[in-house]
Amino acid sequence: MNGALRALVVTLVIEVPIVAALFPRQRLRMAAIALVANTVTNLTLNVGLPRMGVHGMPRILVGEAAALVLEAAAYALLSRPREVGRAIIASALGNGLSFTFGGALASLMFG
Amino acid sequence: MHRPTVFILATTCALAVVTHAHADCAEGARYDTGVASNTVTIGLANTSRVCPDTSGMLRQNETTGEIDLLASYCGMGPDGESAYVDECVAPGTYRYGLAVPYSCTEGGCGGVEMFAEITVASALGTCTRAATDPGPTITNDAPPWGTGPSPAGGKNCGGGCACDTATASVASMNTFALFVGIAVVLTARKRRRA
Repeated sequence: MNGALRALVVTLVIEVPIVAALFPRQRLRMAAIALVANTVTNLTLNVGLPRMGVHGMPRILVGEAAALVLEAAAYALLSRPREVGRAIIASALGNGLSFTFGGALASLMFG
Repeated sequence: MHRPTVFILATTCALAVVTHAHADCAEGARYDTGVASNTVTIGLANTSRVCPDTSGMLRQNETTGEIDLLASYCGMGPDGESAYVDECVAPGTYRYGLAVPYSCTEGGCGGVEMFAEITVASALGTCTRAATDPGPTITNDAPPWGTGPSPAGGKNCGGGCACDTATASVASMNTFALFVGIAVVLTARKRRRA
């Protein structure tokens, strides 16, 4: 499994349950939305931006900021009823935890 | 207090006190490799370093131990990044890596790759290099990953790398967003009650 795929798996393992937990009345729906949104943002971070020539620190800052905003927007727009505050919390918590502890979890999962 | 609220507050505190995240799930500098028949491409990915790199790209034959310095013959890697192109490579398994390896300041957190292991399976047959490719030269330089039988393929950056600047920025950004979200939720609750 290559690095980008490992990073995607770790991100999904951390973020999808957080989103599902924060939207208890629409767990399955929001889990599916989180799955799609995180797949798009994570592949953009680890595959798309490098292909566009964005590397190193700018890639991390741009990619993580984009992930935070786009995922919050997706959760806010697609939740029923729309819950903007909860969407921002879900995105910030998920991205914060996967960024901070993703590497450690990847080591546990993939050695 | 509701359990979700306690969870959110606890996580907010945890994120707020993180000054040195030791890893993340963004990839660090690595080698993006490809093999087509007897041509090996070694892309320099997630780094500002490009081919030709001043330190040079080394190739270690795992069977014979021979170390070669690749020519500064460059092309494009599988993901479109700057890459070394090694033509007419005999069948075998090789380790490719920069003579001065990626450092933690060169992009990404968590770790960086020291070398990439590549196996060439195709028989060499008649192979002609491009006119501008002089081919590799044997060198006595020891590779940075050593000459042992199973060297470590990566270097763990841990804390203290330049990426900590990005790490702190991202942690601050997420913590700020978390507070904004909590504020929006509390405001909405107040409005409903009123």
